Amino acid sequence: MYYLRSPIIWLVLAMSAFVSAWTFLLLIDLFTAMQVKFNGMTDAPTTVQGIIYPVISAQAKLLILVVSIIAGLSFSRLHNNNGWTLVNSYAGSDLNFVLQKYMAGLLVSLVFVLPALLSIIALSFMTSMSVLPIVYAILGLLLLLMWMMALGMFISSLVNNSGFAILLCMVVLLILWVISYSSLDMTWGKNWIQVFSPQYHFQQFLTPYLSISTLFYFIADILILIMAINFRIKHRRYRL
Amino acid sequence: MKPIQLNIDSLQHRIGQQIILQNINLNLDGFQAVTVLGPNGAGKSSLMKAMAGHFFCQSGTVLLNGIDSLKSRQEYLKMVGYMPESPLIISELTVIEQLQLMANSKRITGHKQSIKHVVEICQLEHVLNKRTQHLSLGFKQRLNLAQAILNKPKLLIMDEPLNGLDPHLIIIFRNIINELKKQTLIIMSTHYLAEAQNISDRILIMQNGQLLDNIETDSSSHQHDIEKIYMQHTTPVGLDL
Repeated sequence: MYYLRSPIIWLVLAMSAFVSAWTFLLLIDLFTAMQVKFNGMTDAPTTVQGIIYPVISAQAKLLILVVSIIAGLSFSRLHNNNGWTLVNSYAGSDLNFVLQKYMAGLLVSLVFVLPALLSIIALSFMTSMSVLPIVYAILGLLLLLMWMMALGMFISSLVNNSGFAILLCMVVLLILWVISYSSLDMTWGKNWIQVFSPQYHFQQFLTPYLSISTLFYFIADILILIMAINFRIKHRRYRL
Repeated sequence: MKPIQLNIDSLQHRIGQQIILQNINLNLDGFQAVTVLGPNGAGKSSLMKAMAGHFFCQSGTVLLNGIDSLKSRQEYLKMVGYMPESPLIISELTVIEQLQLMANSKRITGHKQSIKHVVEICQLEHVLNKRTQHLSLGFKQRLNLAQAILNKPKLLIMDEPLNGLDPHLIIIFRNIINELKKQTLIIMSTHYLAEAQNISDRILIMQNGQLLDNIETDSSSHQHDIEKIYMQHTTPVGLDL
């Protein structure tokens, strides 16, 4: 939790809180202004589609920046302060250590999405919205966060320089995000490139139905990445 | 107090063509201070890390009271303290917080008492609430030592603990080591030959990843001239071509 003592984390937190609050208020404004136009429409967007989904999507994009910093620093930073001594002195299993570091990273990242999540929960209590799609959307955001954190920490375990680790995390996460927008010729059926993107799977949560394959994608990936980090830590002990 | 026995058998490690450690065999028992001497690049730090259980060699075994550093790593680590050459400093933490973090990491039960004990030994009382990044080198080294002895180790490995210390601090460290060696097997590396002779009960000399000599400093009838022996066995870096 000593991340919270770093000034840069508070700067990013302030920025993200501002962006979340501003996006949220802007969407409520827009949605209210458009009510007149919605009156005559048969398939007018609901409050969930008009406000909640866009806010959660904005949060997901913001997480790329936040997770890149937090996850990027997680292991690469250990080279700067001789922190590997702490890892090597850990008298528990390596997996336990990795999980503790992972949970700490998640906890700090959650602070960044908390303002938006609280606004959404407050709005859902004050209006009569269907709760299930909101729960799915929040679940999607949390799974995406866990997935990005696991990937970011794996990248961090491969890199010795903190700055480079943050940059690499950002580039990889952005590329994976962007490939979901690829407009590959779909003559042969599904566009498989999109299926690799977390954004594609995250979008499945912004519907009233829960996709099991998407759940599997996130959970399996998180487990594989955590095992990979564990392997990296073990392997390091054979290197000077 | 249970006796202590360290057995190193055929320890070897290479990186490509470069030999890091070559067929190291060493048996040490009882509470004593042992100093490893050798020129830069002799393999001292690698041997220290291997004995501390922080580095696994390609072949060979390190056993402490019969417990293997590789096969029973968690159990082994509970008996060992390691003071690295450059101290572990987490700049955002205060001294007391860093000690608590290390105590948690070493899974010490009742760590408040252990922290109090090491703070006393290393004289850290006045800097407990100071951020570690603002400590002087002397206090950083004391914190480094405090972290190493938090778990009351049976084997204490110290990698060049006297580096950069002024004479006052060297004396403080000497006193601490003399106190600790009553119930700990201490193995340290250093370049200070006089200090090695002052502190140690035994001196090991290393060169090119090999242990060349193993000298007992107090049992012989005459004082060993460590400097002479050291110069006979070793060649300075860059001149051993």
